[in-house]
Amino acid sequence: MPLPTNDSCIADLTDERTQLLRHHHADDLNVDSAHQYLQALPQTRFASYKYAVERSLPYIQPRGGFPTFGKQRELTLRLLDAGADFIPLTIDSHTRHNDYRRASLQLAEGISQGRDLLNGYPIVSHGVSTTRELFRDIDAPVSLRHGTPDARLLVEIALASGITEIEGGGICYSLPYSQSYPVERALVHWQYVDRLCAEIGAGVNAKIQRESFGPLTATLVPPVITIAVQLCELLLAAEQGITAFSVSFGQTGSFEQDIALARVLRKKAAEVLTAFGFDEVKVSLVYHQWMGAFPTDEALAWQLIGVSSAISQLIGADKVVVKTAKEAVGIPDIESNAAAVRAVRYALAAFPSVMDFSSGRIDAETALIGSEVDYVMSRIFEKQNCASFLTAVSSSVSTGIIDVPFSPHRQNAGKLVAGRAKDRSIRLLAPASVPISAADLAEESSLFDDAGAEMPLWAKLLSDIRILT
Amino acid sequence: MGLVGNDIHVVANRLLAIGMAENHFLPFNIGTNNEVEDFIDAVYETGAAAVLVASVNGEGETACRGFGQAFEESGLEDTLLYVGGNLSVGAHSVESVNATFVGYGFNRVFHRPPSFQVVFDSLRQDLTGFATAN
Repeated sequence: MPLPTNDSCIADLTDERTQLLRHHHADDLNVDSAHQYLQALPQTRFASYKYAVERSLPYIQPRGGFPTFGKQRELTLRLLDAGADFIPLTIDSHTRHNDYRRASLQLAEGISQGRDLLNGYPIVSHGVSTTRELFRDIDAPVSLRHGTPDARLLVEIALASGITEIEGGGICYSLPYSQSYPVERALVHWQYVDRLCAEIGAGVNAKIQRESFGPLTATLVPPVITIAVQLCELLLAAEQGITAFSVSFGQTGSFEQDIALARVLRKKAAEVLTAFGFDEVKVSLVYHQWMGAFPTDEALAWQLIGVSSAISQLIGADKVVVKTAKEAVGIPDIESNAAAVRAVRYALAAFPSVMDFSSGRIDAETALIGSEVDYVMSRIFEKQNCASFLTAVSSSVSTGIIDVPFSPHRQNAGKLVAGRAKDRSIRLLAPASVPISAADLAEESSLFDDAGAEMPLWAKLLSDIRILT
Repeated sequence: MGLVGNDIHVVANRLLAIGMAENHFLPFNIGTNNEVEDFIDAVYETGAAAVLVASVNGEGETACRGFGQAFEESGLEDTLLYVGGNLSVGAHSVESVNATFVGYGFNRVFHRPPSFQVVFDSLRQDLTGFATAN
């Protein structure tokens, strides 16, 4: 059986790193750059150090990436001033697709025209010395936010630039973000990233924090799929020696389901780590404010941000990733990002201590999601003809055991259908090849009830997707 | 059916496929990022009676040029061609958008339709005489 094991750990990354870095001449980047720079960096710049500190409220993590140094530096300072605990660096989509040449051209063209042509910060084009300068005298960890199936060079440069938290994974950064990047290749390249982060982190003041991206397509993704992907990426990272890992998920739209999802995710993460002997891994929980279609009316958008801030505290999240009131319109400007941080801090202050919420509905939801997750994970662990856990995960995608709704990826089955019940929870209507027991499926159906009886399925799903707009 | 150009608006595409099946058509969905050749190949492969081309990101006006001609040159002049979505960038009248795409060789044009239902109804009407999935 292809069970997770530290025998899968890459023994020596040096050759592959040398090969990769040989093609990137700028900044004299070499296999020791990241280690040397991070060794001199204060502990407060490390995400894993921050997570180890006692606190009563979730950390606040905004998003944001602009093409130029000047604007990104201004964003960074404004976010800190607004009270952000983690500083983001969001990467543009050309860089995410390894098209560094086009990113550089559009960076130059944008500068000459005096406008932004990229939707994020092209870190490969800017290089290490510029990016280090971006975070000079900043006393907070920087988190890399992207969506890159092959992030090897990106992460090499990020670590050497003093970025200590790396979001992503072979599944969560391929299925929602790419159409044709082979999933198995993405998984192997993320193995490199995991091993690199583990190696670099072992030699400096604090571990490098890895984080998975649970929201996936953020479009009617049932909790069981989110959790299965989180557990797979947690285990793949643990195999490579990662000991600081954040699992995450996006606001589902149902308060009860959010609480249940958080409970199951935390519990199952601990269980699988123990089961496979990865006891030293510290798991943090990250909550993403509503990632689906946002209301265009700013008055409603602010309410949504307030409500999800409250939920982040009620589920005991370690970090909340915030949205802005301008989300529906386009890429939020500096002031919207800073305003969102202030608003979330204000809302969180209303909940000075974590409350342990419980109800019959939440308990039933927790039991149902837990049972579904066990069933799906056991099928992945029992995959036949797979030499490693990585192969089993890859094969689970191509055989539809992991099926992400509304993924653009050709290898994703795209057959699972989920819709919203009257209480707004996400319910499995047709699991397709995702293994769900008959009893659990019957419960899903009874919870869905006849929520969509009065309209065709396509119209029902459309209204479910737009539920908060 | 599928999206033309570098268009990755998968949500509308998937919902349309679900709606097609619900209306007893047999959709063969080629998904996102397609060129005219991909649609032609799919018709050869499946013997489809109709092709539904969608464009949401504003590329349609350039990506759909010569569509009908390409089908004709491939010997597929009898295939019903529909195009729909957000077919023009900026404020052009529905009439002028329709005229442009009819000129490209499409039988019906659905520029920012209020609902998919009109697509299903038209298709049912235009395909009278064809056997359906039901």
